[in-house]
Amino acid sequence: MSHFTKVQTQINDLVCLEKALDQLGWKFKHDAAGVTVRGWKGATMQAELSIDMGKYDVAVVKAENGSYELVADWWGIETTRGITEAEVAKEINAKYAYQRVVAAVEDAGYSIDENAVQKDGTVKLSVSKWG
Amino acid sequence: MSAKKKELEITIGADGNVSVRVKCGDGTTCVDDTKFLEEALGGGIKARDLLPEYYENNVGTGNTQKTTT
Repeated sequence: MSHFTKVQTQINDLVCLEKALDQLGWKFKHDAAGVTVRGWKGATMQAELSIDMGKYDVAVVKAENGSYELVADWWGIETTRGITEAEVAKEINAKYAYQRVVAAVEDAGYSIDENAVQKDGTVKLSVSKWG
Repeated sequence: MSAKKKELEITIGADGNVSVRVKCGDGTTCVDDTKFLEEALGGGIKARDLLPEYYENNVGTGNTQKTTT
């Protein structure tokens, strides 16, 4: 028997998030004690991780359910960097999901047999193990 | 008793959603084989579809596609 499962991605691992940001080439600061996040007109906030989007930053903030959310002055980022909230979230989610999947399959003892990126950005991984 | 090869085909969409196709022989542990990924990704299952053409000993060549949008 085979089956398909479609899983929604939530950011819950900052190590994988950092790898995803490296993959995107986006600079970030990470400190469990808190880093400064820059917002509109010099406003700042503290977060565990701050992504440098040029003039403003995106804060990565832990939500009540334990996963992380992206918080920012999205209007400021869109007007200065030319990228919308939806686009930032999509870029991060896609790269994060890839890093998290690779970490999870390796932890579970699978080896990666095939790793192919398609034109639309979709990544196909074939993994296997004996057991 | 012999070991079985477990194979997963994982598709990571440009939106960050992940689809997993499991290829396995007997079906008893099949659904459990994706649990570790569901837990790692943490967002919960959006859809699960059993593929009847794989109930028999057809392991396929990886060409079966599902488009969920």
